[in-house]
Amino acid sequence: MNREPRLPDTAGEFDPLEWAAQERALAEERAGLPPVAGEPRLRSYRLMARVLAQPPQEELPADFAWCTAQRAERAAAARRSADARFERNLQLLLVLVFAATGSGALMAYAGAWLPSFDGGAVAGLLARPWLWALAACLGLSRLYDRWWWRNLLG
Amino acid sequence: MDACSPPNPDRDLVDAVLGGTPGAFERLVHTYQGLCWHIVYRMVRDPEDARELCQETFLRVHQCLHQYRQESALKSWIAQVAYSIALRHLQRKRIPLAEAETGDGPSLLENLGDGFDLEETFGDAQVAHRLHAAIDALPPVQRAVLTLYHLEEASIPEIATITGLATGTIKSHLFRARLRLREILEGRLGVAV
Repeated sequence: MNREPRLPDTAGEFDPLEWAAQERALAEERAGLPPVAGEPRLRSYRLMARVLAQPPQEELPADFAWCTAQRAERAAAARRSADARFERNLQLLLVLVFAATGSGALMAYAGAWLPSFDGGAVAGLLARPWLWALAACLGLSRLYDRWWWRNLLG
Repeated sequence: MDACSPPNPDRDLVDAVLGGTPGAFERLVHTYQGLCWHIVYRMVRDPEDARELCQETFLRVHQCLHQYRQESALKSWIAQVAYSIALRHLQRKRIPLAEAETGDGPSLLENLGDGFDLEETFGDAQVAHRLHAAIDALPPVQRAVLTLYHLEEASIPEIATITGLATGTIKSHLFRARLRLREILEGRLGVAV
């Protein structure tokens, strides 16, 4: 192969004249100006600009936007569901931690304060019907909440 | 919205998507799918991978749209997402992103003369074929920069926003890529086409 002797790489060096030719060719091509005779360098760059401005022959499918929007909506719904599940699990964890620490405190310190309780007063409190009604309301509300979440998440 | 403020289609579209307006996200995808496809396909070149990556781009856009602060045009923001997703894909596949800086290559300018007439030497179809093959032979980052500059008509500062490259680096990529294309077109580098 007949090649010129290899020279040090100067391609990285910016040549303002060459750059100006590239930019002029691009501007002329975009403006649709007729090619200037006798300037082969400009003609090469104009051809280049013309080909580079052409979109790829391969295209996205016609229903790409619709399919992508559907997929995004499904992904968002899955994220919302995962967030809700995480929130519920966190809530449950907090309740368990609270219950565990409460039980621990009860076991540790009950011996000191439980004897001071008046048994008659506790029995009197439990005998009041509004207290039972309140407990029933809280229980029902909790059950309805569980049922609603189960239905929502399918 | 203030009655005197100019209409901002980007903001309206983003508000519609965030507000859950039916069809708004599909409209957004439809508006910007060409831009995304041009960037990703020119970088990745494999149509199947490019389609998947375009879909990934829009899923990411849907997920992160609330983070869009309108500091740049929506077009630039989406192009930025597409570019980084394509870049990450190429990195995962260990495909070199930019040309290696070697000291033993011939000087492109040294090899080029002013007397070469491309159209006289090759027919139009042959030139286009040769050029497409030459574009494919460029490194992915240069292909992306050329696509943004020539096809999407993005300015150099816009390309800097999209790619995160310095404006000087972008100019250098453009300059070198076009010079290399000219060299290949004029048949001086012996690239098989």
